[in-house]
Amino acid sequence: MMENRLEPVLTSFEPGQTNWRTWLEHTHHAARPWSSSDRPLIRDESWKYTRKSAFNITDGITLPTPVIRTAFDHRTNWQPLKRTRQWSLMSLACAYSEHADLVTTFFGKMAGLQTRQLTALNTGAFRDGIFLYIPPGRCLSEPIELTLMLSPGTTAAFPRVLILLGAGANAHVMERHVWTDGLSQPPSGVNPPSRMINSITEIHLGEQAALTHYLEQTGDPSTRAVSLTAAHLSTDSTYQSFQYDGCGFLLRHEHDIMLKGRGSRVQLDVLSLLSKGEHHDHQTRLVHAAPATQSTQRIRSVVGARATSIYGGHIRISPEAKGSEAAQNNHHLLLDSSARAMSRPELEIGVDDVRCTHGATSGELNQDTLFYLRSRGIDQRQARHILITGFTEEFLAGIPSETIRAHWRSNVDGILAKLEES
Amino acid sequence: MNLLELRNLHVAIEGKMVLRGINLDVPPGEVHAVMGPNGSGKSTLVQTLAGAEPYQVTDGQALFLGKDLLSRAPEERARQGLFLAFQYPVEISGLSNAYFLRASVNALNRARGEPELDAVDFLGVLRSELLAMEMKPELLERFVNHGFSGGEKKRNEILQMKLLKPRLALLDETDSGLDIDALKVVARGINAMRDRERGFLVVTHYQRLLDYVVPDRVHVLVNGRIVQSGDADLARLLEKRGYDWLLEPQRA
Ligand SMILES: Nc1ncnc2c1ncn2[C@@H]1O[C@H](COP(=O)(O)OP(=O)(O)O)[C@@H](O)[C@H]1O
Ligand SMILES: [Mg+2]
Repeated sequence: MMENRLEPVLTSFEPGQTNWRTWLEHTHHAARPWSSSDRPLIRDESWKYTRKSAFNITDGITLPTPVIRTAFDHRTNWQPLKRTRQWSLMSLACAYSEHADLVTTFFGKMAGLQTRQLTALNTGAFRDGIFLYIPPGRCLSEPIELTLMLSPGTTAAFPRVLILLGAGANAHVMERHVWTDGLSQPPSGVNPPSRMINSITEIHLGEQAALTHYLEQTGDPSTRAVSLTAAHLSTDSTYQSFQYDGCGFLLRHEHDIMLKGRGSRVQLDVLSLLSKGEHHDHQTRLVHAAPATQSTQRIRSVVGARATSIYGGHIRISPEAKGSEAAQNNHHLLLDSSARAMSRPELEIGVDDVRCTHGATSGELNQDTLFYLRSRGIDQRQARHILITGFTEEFLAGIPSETIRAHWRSNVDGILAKLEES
Repeated sequence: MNLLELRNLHVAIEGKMVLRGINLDVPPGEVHAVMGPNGSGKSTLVQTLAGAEPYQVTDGQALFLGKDLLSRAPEERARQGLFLAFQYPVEISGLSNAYFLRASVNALNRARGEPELDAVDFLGVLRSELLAMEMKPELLERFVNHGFSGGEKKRNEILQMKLLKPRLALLDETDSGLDIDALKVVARGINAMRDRERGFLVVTHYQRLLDYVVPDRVHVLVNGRIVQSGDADLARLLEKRGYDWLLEPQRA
């Protein structure tokens, strides 16, 4: 794995920064009305197959204490990180004094409170977050790694990340969500103590900016995590996202992408591996709001016994988005007859001159393909392994960073070895 | 000993009887052609012999090298020296052709107690065969049969046959969809493999291939039965007269 570039920690916000405290209180306060579930919320079909109450957010629940002692390591002093002319990476609290205009302009802009109760809950509870800013025209040759980790005993966390790229900036960011307890063994027992994570990453790309974003989620049998990546793309900017969900009892991830500028492009590639009994839910919402915008989505999952994989993909092409192209593909590979998968594409097309394609497949390994391999002397077990690996390789082969590809490949191999055994 | 002996073989698919009592012997060193109209059961015959699951043997026997064939798993049959060139080679995304070819060769090497080849050794073996089949090297890097033309798929099947060196090769319409140049390359590939030990069962709809790969015997399959057998002249006769005169009265 690449060296961890982030040393300092996020334990609590800086004492004595009254401005920040005031702003934070304000923000919490503003979120509160939107976080209660008795507000008439927009009916949300995307929750049809995943229990929203699993995130403990219904009726009158007091907000869990924010325990975002989650980042990086356990040191207590937060300091501005490497501050170079190339980029700045620091806590939101620090950023509030150093880049006040950026924080106040962009925080909460991509992830709006009104439409998503979980956003309001996060916004009403977070205590600090991570701020990454690449000034206009700067190019980062090396990937930056942001690791969010839970401290032992954490029961609920509200991570918050804000990534801003100025015009023409270029960066690779690896965001790792390690939602385990730091224990080597998952907790045993019928009802292991569970952890709830509600995280939000907001991304804003200036004109002609390019971000390659890697998101890795790993959890254990007690993890319940809901996360949102919300991005706004300016003219001619490019957002490329590779997401790998290795493990987690209940994972839900939402992508909210707004293609605001003419010629902006997004590519989402997701691979989700579901071990026995796990439930993963992916929702993507893309709005093509400008002419000549492009989106490509390839969402894949490998589903083990009694596991459930959900995909919902909503694409809206607004009337002004002439000449846009959207391609959406979703493939579930079921490893067992008890594995379940659901796919819900939704296209809303408001203009004629666009190209929109979507395809979805869901099923067990193809018998003809298995037979072809076996007819060459390859035994059933190896043939299955070759085909499953082929499926995951379609995702892995597309990853630009060799380091991350190798890291994920070995992780995938480890999980598949267990999945194929059972 | 015959390579292959079929006795009264009956095969059904999805409850429908397709082969109704096939009797056939292929001795070592011979090329046997099976011809017949579309839907007569040619693919059913070779797919069943290779062990494809959907085909159910309801009666009869098949011996390969004197031993019962039908009770064995497809991979075991391959390891004993049986090879099927598919009429419709399967596309496998995510799996590179080079990796697939090496995995196949090594699976057989392992079964024969021969050393497995690493990627470098294998590439050496592969290069010359690829050249002989007049295939572009980039076809190795692609996913198996992905974006291959019809002809490239068929060449890739013959390439596999040459690498796996079977005792008996079943070729299912390897000639269909090939232009004359490709047909010659494929025929040369087959002829290069002919020797006193190895046998071939060549399924074809047209006699064209048999101008280049001259068969020892020709069998005509109609409606699940072998209705006529003869030498290479029979293929030429069929080319001239078609199959109609051989159809069973009730179906003609
Ligand atoms: N997988 C299958 N499912 C259902 N019917 C099949 C299948 N394969 C072959 N058949 C039927 O069996 C008969 C023989 O087919 P086939 O062996 O493919 O003929 P040929 O290769 O001589 O053209 C046909 O009637 C065909 O429809
Ligand atoms: Mg056929």
